[in-house]
Parts: sequence; C-alpha cells; structure tokens
Amino acid sequence: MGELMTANVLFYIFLILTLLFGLFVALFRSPLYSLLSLLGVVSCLSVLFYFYGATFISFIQLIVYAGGILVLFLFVIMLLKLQPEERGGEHPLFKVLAPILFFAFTTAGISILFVHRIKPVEYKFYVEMDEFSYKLFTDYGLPFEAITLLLLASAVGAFIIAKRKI
Amino acid sequence: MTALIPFIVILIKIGVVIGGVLTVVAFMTWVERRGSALIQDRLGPNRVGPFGLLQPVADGLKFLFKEEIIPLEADKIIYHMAPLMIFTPALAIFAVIPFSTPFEIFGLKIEPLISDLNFGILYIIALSGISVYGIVLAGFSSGSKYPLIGALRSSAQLISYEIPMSLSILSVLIASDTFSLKGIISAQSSVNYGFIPNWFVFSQFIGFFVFLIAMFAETNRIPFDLPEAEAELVAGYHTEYSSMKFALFFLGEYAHMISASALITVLYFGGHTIPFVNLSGFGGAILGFISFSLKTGFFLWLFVWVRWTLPRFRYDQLMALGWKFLFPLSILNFVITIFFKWVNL
Repeated sequence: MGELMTANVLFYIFLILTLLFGLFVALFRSPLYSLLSLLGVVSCLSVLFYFYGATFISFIQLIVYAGGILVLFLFVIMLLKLQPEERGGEHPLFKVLAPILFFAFTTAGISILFVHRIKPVEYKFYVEMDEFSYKLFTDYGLPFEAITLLLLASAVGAFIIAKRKI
Repeated sequence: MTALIPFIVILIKIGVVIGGVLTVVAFMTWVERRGSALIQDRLGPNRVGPFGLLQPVADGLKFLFKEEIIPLEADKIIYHMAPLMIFTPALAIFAVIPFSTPFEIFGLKIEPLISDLNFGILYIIALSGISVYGIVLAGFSSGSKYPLIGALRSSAQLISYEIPMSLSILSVLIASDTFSLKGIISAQSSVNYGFIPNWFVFSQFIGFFVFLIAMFAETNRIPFDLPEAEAELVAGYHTEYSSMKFALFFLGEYAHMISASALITVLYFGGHTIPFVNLSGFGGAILGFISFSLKTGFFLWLFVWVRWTLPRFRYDQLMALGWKFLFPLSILNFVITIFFKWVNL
C-alpha cells in the first residue's frame, strides 16, 4: 500500500511539473530556455508513461525526443544564433486574442482534468515487449510500413533540399 | 519498521555505488598520470603518499580552494547547470549495472545492483542520449568561441557514433533474447564446445569491435577527443570553467569511462560470470565481483593505454570513420546476427 501511495504522489508531482514546463515553453522569450523547458516536458511525460506501466514507450520517448529531435532543435538554435524576442513587436489584434485563447484553453484543460478524473497508476496498458512487437508486425503491419515509407520520403526530401545540385 | 528495510537497503546500495564509483574515478586520475609516465618513460606524481597514491586527494583539495571565475558573457543559469547535466547521467548509468550474483547477509537477500529494470538497455541508451546536453549547453552558455566550436563538434560526434553503438547493442539483444542486463549476463554464462565461454565477444566480434570504437568516441577520449582538442580549441567545451565546476567535468568524463568499461564487460565479456565456476553464496558474490572488477579494470587501462599511444583524428576522418565504416559494419553485423538467429545456430 505504501508503495502505491508514493507512486500516486509522484504521479501528481510529475503531472504538475509537465504542465508547468509546458507553460514555460510558451512564456520564455529566449528560444534556448524554451527548448530546455520542452526537454522538461518530454522527460516528465516519459515518467508519466512509466507510471502508467508503458515502460517501453517511456524509454522510447526519452531516446527519440530528448536524445534525437530536441538535440537537432538545439543545433538550429546554436547555428542560427537565435536571439530572445523583443517585447512590443506584436500585432495589436494578438494582444487581445492571446489572453482570451489562453483563458479558454486552460479552462478547457482543467475542466477535462476534473471531469475525467485522471487517475494515476492503472496497469491496464501494460504489455510485454514480445507481445508489443508481435502486434506491431502483424495487426499493425501496414500502418507500420506506411510510416517507414513516410520517413524515407522525408529523408530523401531533406537530402534534396540540402544538396541543391544532385 | 520492517517496511522501511527495503528502502534503507536501496539507500545503502546507492551510497555504496556512488562512493565506489567516485573512489575509482579518483584512482583513475592517478592511473592516468602514472600510466602516461610509464608509457613516456617518466616518473609521474610520486611525492604525495606511497607511490603518489594520495595525489588525487591533494588535487581535489586544490580544486576546492581555487577561485571561481564566471565569464561576463555567460548565460548564468545554464552555465551553472551544465556540469551537473554531464555528471548526473554518467553516474545514473550505474543504477542498472549488475556487479555480482545475489547473496545473503544478516538474513537479507541482497541483489548487488540498484534496480533490475526490465528495459535496462533502453535506459542506458536514453541516458547516453541525454548526456549530449551537458556538453552542448556548457559550450553554448560560456559565451566564447572555442567552447562553442567544441560543443558543435562534440554533439555531431556523439550523435554520429550513437547509431553504430545502438545497432551493435541491438545485435546483442537479438542474440540474448532479452532487454535486461541480468538476462544478457546469464545468456553468456554457458560454455560452447566444452572450452569456449559463450561470451558475445566471440559470437559478436564485429559488434564488439564497433561498440568498443563507439565507446571511445562517446567518452571523448583520444583518438576522438576533438571536442576538447587542446592544440586547437584551448580546452574545448569547458574552456571557461574553473574551480569545482571544472572538476565536475573531469569527474563526469572519468565516470563515463568507467560506465563504458562496465558496459563492455556486461555486454561482451559475461559480466561477473566466470566460465566453469558456479558462483553462489557470499564467497561466490565476492568472486563474481572480483571477476567483474578485473574485466572492467582491463578496459579502463585500455582507455589510458590508447590515449597515450595514438594521435588524434582529423574531423573529416572522424566523420568518415563513423558513417562510412562503422555504420555499414554494424548493419552487416546486425544482418548476420538475424540470419544466425533465423537458422537457429
């Protein structure tokens, strides 16, 4: 019982942390700090996946997003030397729209939280690794192959854009 | 009270592992300096304590008393965070490494590893992916040219060499049918043809070769130490760091080296197992730990040996080696492993 309690408390702590980091992504003016907050979101999400029993997804989340995609974002920020945004350059319409949208989305989010009662630690999603891979290559074989084709197409596209002359 | 015992045991394990790793780190700085002296026909540090063994303590004290200089141009928060982001993943890898066989003490069954994670290998790959951030952020936040170039070089290098590394780990996973490090070790505990131990270094020798080279690159050691090439970049990504923060980079690098050696031992040399010997009980645990330390120690010495023997690569040579040689080789090894698994040899 004690273990379950600790897990519950940790679950809520990481849930709140995820939301906070998500806010920071939008609020920071420096792109580097936004990126680090995004790293926080990704890491906390992976911990949440872990609490839901989706161990494999939680590690893949870290490997693919934190170890791969966000490093590329960091590369872009470093190479382009992106500076923090100046205050006051916004269109006046956005100044009105932004608070309204922010308020609407947060209310919607919080009400969803309360209506659906997000519960921590339910091991209904838990799947063994071999079962997971078996499903991936049999039941979901076609979508899986389609995604690999999509990745191949984007890799070829990136190559053509970068090369210019082939 | 009895409910607290597992918790206390875990805390003690963490303390022992961190203390042990830091001690080996300190010892390795001594080995590095004495070893380089041996290779270059010098004496090396021999004044502080017997054989200069207390030199690391003196160095540590010196680091504590050094003045800390923070560059004006630095991004203060990230500048302070970066050394920790290097040091923490390097230490956290030891959470899943099994050091020996389980044993019993005071009626408690103790497993000599902190956490028997089912996906231990994925945990290690994830951590080594995250350790890129420390180097990149250190270089970027210093607000100076040399660290920035060092950081750029290092991130490109780490990402490139992570691919052959992961592919050779994947072949080991296929050969052993499990994701857990304990499972990988027990898959290697048998003996083939009566005299060859079933270590993956024999059946996966291409994978071992690729993994070893990739590990040299991942730990930023010579011949892959371009991120901190002292002749070109002053000291690379940690040029602007001083005092204890510099020491943290240093500790992180050595901790990374130890975890790399331990990983090579676990993945390719059967971890703590000894061929023909059945390890059990308290004595078996000690024997297993000695076997594990000897194997790991050999690779630690290899890191030192190579550093003081080989010159540094040029950057284009480094990239060509990673992408045009190791990457196809690791794919070849992967295909061969799948083929042998398929025909069930």
